[in-house]
Amino acid sequence: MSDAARTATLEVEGLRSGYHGVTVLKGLDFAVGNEIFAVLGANGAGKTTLLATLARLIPLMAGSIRFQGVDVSSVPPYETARRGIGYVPQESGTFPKLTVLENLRVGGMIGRRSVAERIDEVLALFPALKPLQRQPAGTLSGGESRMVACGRALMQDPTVLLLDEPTAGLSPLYVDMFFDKVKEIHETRGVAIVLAEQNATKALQVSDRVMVLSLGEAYTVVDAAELTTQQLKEGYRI
Amino acid sequence: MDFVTQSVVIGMTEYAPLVLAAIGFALLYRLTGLINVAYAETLTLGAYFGVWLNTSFGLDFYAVLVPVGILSGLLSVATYLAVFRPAHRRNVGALEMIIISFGLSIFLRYGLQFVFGYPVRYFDVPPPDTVVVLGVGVGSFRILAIVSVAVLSLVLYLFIQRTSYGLKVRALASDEALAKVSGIHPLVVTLLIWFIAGVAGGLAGAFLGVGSAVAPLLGWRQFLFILLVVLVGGSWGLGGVIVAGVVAGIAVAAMTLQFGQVLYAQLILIIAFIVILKIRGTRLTETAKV
Amino acid sequence: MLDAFLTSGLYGVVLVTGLALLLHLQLGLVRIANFGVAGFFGLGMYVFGVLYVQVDWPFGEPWQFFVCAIAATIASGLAGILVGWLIADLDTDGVLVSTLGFATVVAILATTQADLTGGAEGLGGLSFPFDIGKTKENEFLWLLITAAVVVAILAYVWQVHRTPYGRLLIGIGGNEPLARSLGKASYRTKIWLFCVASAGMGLLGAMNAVMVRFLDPANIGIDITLAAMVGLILGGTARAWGAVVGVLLTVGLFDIVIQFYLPLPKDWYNQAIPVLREAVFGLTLIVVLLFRPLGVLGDMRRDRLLRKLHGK
Repeated sequence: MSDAARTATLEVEGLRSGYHGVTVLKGLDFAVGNEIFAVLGANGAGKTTLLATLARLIPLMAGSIRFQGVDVSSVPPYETARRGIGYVPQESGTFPKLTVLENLRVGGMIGRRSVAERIDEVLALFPALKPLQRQPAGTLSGGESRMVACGRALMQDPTVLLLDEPTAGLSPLYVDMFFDKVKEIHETRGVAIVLAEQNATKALQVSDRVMVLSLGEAYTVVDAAELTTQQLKEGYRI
Repeated sequence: MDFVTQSVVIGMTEYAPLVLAAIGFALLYRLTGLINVAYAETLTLGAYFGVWLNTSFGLDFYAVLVPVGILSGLLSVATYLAVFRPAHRRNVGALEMIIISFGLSIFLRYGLQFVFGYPVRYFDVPPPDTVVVLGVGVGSFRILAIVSVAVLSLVLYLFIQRTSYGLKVRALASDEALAKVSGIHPLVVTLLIWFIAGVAGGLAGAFLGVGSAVAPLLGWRQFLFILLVVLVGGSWGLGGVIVAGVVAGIAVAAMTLQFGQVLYAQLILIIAFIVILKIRGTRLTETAKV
Repeated sequence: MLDAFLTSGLYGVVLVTGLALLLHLQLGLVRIANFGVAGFFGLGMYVFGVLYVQVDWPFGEPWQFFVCAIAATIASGLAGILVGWLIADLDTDGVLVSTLGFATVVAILATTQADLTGGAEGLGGLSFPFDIGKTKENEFLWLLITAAVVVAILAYVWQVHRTPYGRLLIGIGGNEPLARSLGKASYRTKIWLFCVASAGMGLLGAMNAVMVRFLDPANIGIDITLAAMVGLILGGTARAWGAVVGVLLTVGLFDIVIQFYLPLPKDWYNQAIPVLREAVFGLTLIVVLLFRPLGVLGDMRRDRLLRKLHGK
């Protein structure tokens, strides 16, 4: 186990959750420290459910989530957002009718730091957004709106950022750029990142540790460098 | 020319309260996606609150407006908490939601009659001064109504578009789940929307009531007009609602002058608006028409 | 022979059941909330009344009744085609405004065209197409005839549930874009459905004109629509029998049990009871849709069939 995990910001124990009485996650235990923690798995493994549960959008059926040592298992999402959990859903991560700038301002409602300063930081991180500030987010391309979604979450000055497949469906150019940005966010801002991904190769390049989900259970949790192709294949059930 | 100025002045002053009501209704419709039939009763109750404060406490009409706004806003919030919030939590569909609001409208309309009696009531106010506008005499209450509509719509517009609460309101209307994970407390913001809509409806009701009589059907009689104005004008935002309301008001006033019969004017308005809705077209998702 | 009050109470139940059954086709199967039931009903009632009273027919009863009733049915059916066409491609909001608007138009015309309809004062001069003695007896016979018509409507609805046409209606109600992509002409189906249901409502309106024998615009207010809707929803929108059960529990309870069998103060009957009735109906809509959206009869036969097929 790496050093990062010992000073865990997010601790999950016996987590079960799902929709409409169907259990998707069947008891997960893991901890995330100040690191990039990749969650890998095939379609339907429960990656999205896990992130939505961590963001408190889906209620827990059993188990607990502790954030910075405090149990947040039944804390509503707007409260965990204020405490420092930022979440970027896979789809619809932006408010389509609001402009790019307004989207960022919504995120800026959390925290005390000057909003203008934070907006400048986000625009510096994603320079492509600069000319689009007054445009409604619904009119942006897929890659641009992912940047807005990510920027909105960063505006909240999160301690942990939950990224749900930020590169799904994007062109290869964007994919490389995005993984670089993820690494940059972690390194320059000290934000812990939980990254759900299908693209194992790319995720392994940037992440510190990996959890492979298989049908709602943790197949393995290891340092990224130690994950073998065999483990990955079995976890993906190939 | 005379006919035109007359229609414009009468239309604008007489229908100003309905434009105000339409703004409140449109706010709820655009921000919560709900067609709230019971909004009609917000108008009725606003008028009744006004009469009650006016006749029981001897407050004059202008003094009554502030408490009427607050009481109507609170009533609107109460209907949300008692009916629409539980319905929303139970994932009731759009169709059922309309029927629920229809049921609530009926329940309030008749339940209040059952409790408070059936007679028609009147505001106890001195006859309004007549102000001559462009050669047409208009009662002072109507002037006040049109001024408050102008002021309130401006305030609302600035509130929604320029303030951080307005941004929260729009964010919540755009995507509830995303608003939540962005740290927006949905209940507080939703209550705010309902309160504002209630204030607009209640004031509209008071203005309507002081112009004529206060009866249980006061709001329901205006509901179709409000609904038409909001559905037709609403796709261009609050500005569209105001324009549609003013144009409809002037048109009805002009046709009433022409035919000497307000019902014909309403008839033509209903048909014209439904035709516009039809022509503007298909709102059903046509994705399947491959 | 029944007491005159009981006859009128039962007649109310039968009439509203008929309307609720027709509404069931629209609301229950295709999921179109028709808020203009009173409009189609009222159109039939007034077309019948105006033709019956204002035209000098060369033949006597019962032919005069048949001709006028058929004309009323056709008029409402045509109005149904018009409204059906209007709402075919609109969403629920558009349906609400169009159907409510149609009902308002009918009520306005009934008031403004006073030389034909008698306007707000009302239109008299109607009578039964037969005369078997006292008014009481005529009314009782008319109750039986209306009941027969409503049973026929029930049989039609029952049969619709068991045909491909019924499944088409349910399919459109469940997922219209999908039904369209499978090549079903959903607009045409909706327009045809509106034509048939509205014609039925118009026929019931004509029958009602005979029973009340005096038409006034107050008879075609929103309370008719409300009564049909609350009955249907309480009984269960998805089931053919829902309308029957629900109307018995609502209109039946109020217009028969409470009106005649409860020892209430005399002065309540003029104002308090009718007002209370509407208030309770409104509350019923809310409570049922919140806590038991499928009504008393609950889920559908077809669900049972599906469960059987999927072995659950």
